[in-house]
Amino acid sequence: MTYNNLYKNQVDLTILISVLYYFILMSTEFIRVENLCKTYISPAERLEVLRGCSFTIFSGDVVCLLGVSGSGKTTLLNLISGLDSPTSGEIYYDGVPLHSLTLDQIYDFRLKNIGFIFQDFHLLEHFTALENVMSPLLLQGHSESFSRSVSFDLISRVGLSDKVDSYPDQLSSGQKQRVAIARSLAKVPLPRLLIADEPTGTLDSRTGDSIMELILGLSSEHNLTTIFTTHELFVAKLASRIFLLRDGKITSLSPSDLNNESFISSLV
Amino acid sequence: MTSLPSSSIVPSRLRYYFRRLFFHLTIIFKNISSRKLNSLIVIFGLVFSLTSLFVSSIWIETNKSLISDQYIESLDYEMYITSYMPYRMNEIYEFVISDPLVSHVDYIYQTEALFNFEDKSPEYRFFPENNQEDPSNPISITSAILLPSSSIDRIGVNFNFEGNLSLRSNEILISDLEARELERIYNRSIVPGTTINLAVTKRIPYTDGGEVYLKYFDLNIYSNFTVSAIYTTNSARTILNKLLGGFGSSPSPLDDSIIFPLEAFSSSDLYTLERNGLLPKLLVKTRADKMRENGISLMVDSLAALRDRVTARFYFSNCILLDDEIQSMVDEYGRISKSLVLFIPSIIVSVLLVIVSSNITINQRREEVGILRVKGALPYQIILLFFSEFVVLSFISLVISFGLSILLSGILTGTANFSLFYGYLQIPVSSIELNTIIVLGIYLVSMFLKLYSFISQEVKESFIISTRGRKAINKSLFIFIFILLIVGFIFELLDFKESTDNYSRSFSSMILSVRLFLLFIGLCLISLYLVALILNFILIKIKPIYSLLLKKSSFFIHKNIQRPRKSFSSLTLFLLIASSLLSFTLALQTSLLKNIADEQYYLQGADLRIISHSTNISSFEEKIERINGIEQAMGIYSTTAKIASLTIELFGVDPLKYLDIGRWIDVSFVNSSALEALQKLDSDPFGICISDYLAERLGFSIDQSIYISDFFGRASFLSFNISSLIRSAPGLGFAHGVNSKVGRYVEEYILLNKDILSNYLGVSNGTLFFASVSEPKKIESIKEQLLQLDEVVSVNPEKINPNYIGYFILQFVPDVWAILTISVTFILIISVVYIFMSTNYILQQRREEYALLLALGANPKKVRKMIFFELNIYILFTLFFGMFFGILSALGSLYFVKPLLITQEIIPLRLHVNSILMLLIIVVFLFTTLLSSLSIIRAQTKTDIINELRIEK
Repeated sequence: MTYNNLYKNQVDLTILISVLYYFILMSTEFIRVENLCKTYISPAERLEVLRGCSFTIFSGDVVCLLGVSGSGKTTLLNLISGLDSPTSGEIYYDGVPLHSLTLDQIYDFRLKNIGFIFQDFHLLEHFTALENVMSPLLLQGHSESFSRSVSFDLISRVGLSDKVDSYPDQLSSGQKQRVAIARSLAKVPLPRLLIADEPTGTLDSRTGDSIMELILGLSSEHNLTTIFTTHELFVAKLASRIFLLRDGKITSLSPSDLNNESFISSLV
Repeated sequence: MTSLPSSSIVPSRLRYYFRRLFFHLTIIFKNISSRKLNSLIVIFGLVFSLTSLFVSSIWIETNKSLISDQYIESLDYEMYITSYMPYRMNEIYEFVISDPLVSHVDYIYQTEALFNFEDKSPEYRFFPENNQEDPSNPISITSAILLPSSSIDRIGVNFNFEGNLSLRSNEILISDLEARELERIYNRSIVPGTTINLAVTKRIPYTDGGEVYLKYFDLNIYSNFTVSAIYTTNSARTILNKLLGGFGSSPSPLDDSIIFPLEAFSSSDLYTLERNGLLPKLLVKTRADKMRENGISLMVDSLAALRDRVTARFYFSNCILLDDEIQSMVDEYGRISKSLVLFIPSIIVSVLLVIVSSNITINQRREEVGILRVKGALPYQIILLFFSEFVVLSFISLVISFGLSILLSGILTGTANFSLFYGYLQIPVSSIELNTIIVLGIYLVSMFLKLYSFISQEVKESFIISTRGRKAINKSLFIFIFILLIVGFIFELLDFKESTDNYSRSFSSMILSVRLFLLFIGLCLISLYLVALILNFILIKIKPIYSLLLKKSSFFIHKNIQRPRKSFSSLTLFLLIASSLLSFTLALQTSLLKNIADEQYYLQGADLRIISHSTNISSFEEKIERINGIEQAMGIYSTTAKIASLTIELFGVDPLKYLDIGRWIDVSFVNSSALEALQKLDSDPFGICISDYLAERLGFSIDQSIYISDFFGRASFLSFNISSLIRSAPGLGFAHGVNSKVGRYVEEYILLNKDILSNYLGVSNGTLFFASVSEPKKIESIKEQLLQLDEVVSVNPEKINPNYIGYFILQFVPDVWAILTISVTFILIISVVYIFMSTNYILQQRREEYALLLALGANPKKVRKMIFFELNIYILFTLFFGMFFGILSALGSLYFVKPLLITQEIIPLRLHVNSILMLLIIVVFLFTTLLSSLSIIRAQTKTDIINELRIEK
């Protein structure tokens, strides 16, 4: 079964009950963060990165975490994805606390539900573009042939069907990020959460725009809950919800806030 | 740098340079200590290789003096001189004593002494004891030796004695055999302090009828002498024994003698002796330091030169040397010292470790080198930085190696000779310099080549252009070296074939053996490079096996195996070399040990090897067979005779008993089994078995009749039929060649029916018996019973011939199997260190990848499993291929390595692989390396994912 066939069925189902679902989804909590704190202790200093962040993300949201460098965006993403553990506070997925799960369960949860896009792409240098996309499917235990087939569809979807046999050092930065995006979606079923940590951070503005367009397009197409981080306001405006991280605390913003010059200058 | 004060005691320029030097040294030590593990491994590898080479050099150099001195000290004398103008003996004495090679010269007279002559007339004629005029009151006669008292200590090195060897003029030394005979005659005990009455006489052969009568000298006849000591000899092959005509026989004439101090005889007495035909001889003792002056290999030449000087001056003199014995010592020492080349495999592996470790260090500092280049550092400055670190590491390694090698040389010599070794310690400076240059040179060149590929921008550009050209050059060089080695090997092999016969290993064949061994190792290394390429190819192709064994992770493993960088395939070549050299050395060691054990088993001859005093063979056989547990016993009749001009030793046996009792092997006879040959011998009373060497040399063939003559020195001869050709007989040694391990020094022997010797030639006594037991488990108790018998000297001695020169040398150097064992141990340790280091390095390089897989959701257990499986594949496959190659190499090399392993091939040296030991080595190898990498893998997969995936990286 190809990627297209599999998800075409899903899309059809979604259309049939989309109206009802829309209203249901609006009130379906997916991620709830309560009083999240993260402190790094070193011999030299004690650094409180997050000081009691609380927020809720609903299914289908496209959320932007906005903040300057060092504000704790990546830390928050790492906590949400289970890569790191909070000093205090809790993260709930569908009402289930994340860190009540065992380590194996967390890894399994991440494998099935979360797609990650890194700022620095982090492709496996000895895998071709196609094989990089295949890797999460293989980790899930799917056969090589199935993984190859699904991955080919995905990689075509991101516009790199002619680069399937290229190695990362033969791709441009934009192409690498496209591969990373395809990889993040390479799960069966699709991941419920897409996390992108500064996906355009190392790209030029034109390439960055196309990447964001791709991410948001795919997110919208498959109704994925998406969280991305950025320190750039124009990228943040693309999200449906914006959280501002400042001084370890999180504040919800609306897109209109980003048009307010006095508000913007207060951020600097 | 701050400005210098204007006035200072130390010149300001000097202080500037000193500060600069200190600054640079600080940087160097900082660099070294920041990579402690790699630096330690480099030092470890250098120390291993340098220490092995230094120890070998120090051993060889020190032992040249030590062994030659100790050997000369162990000998009583090295030469004796006779003259048919005895009245000019004094001139010869004065000439010889003034020679720089000579330490002492002593006069010796050899005659007979009489016991129990007091009541006999001076015209009494002597017959053998059982035929004397009055058998109830026989004369006892024994060999008598007159020696200066000062020389007694010298000959006493070969004595076991009870009493005091210092002789006053009225004291004598008496052999144990003679003492017991006297006890029977006098019916009283003879112990040190006993006074006995005896005279010095001379036996004059009476041609009429074969009897002899005695002519006693006009001396103080029948003086009382006090027994100062009763002695037995250790049957060593000394010049005194040679002089007395009992070389190698047991008992020797010295075992049945009385020793008088020359001071007991006045000058007129001696004059009387000489006038009556008792000719003096001179015993010459050389100076140990002068003997070894030209090197241990020329000791015999030095002695021969002395002989030539004497005979050139005194044409009427004859000098007899202990040349054969000294030469056998030199040859044996030469073989053992040459066998130190067997350390080479462990040295190669440790040098490879150094190269790999150095390459890893440079790889890890790519970034640093790149930054230096970007900042404007010139290539030579970067090279200088690394060169400085090389100098420091090398210096540390040299100091440690030097100290360690001096310590180990003494320890490995054996604690008994620890202080003796250090008393002779010599450091061969030029040899050590050469070894240092070779090892450090290889390290330096490999480091330089690796660095050069990083630092030279120009070269990097040309890499892109001429990579193909560079590869072509490498390929051509590789093929050229390979062809050169093969051609060299073939030519040396042909030379070797010509120089070797099947029976003994000459010195020249040992030299060829060393060269062949080195060429062979070179060929193996090059072949292993090809095997590594083939192995890596196979590992890529066997993907279905990975899929079968590890379904879910097989894709990742296969991709990792294929990858050009950060792959465990870098382990392949080294592991192949290490495992093949390990199994090669181990196979040689186990083959040698098996051969030694088989040889010992075979040379013993039978379940029981009984050494006795000279006793009647047939009656003693019956006595032995009466012991409970013994099935059969057989004594060996022996005498000497001649075929053509060749002296041979005849061994008379009961063929069918020997067939049952003896430990025969399949190659004992030529083209015949022991059963056929001995049955044939039994059926023909005048049948003989001679060596194939003798048959070929004299043009004999089976069923041919030949004459053997000169039995007991008489001119009589007998005709025999050659019934078979023999290679070796259990307990008796080789048919051809001196077999000093069993104390047989006559080059040829013949096996024949005992009846010939006993009935025709009157041989009745013997000292060697073999016996078989019905229950091997009871052998110890049977041994105890045998030792109770008066006649028995020893049963199943650990050393068949304690005087075998090899045992002497092994007091100072380890035996070949010990060298191989040390080499195996070294290779094992180095391999474990290498795997630990390389695995750690590769996994460190893959940290980011593993962090990524974990971030994507891979379970840490899965990742660990993948790493384990991948590592296991490489280790198992390389071990399998390497060990197979190593064992094949051992099989192929046995032919030319033999001279280094054994002196005489008594039992054919065959490849013996101890499969349990090999398996154990594999298990230990695998277990140790996986255990050591376990901590790394655990650390890797508990990776701080976030840190590894940081953008800064």
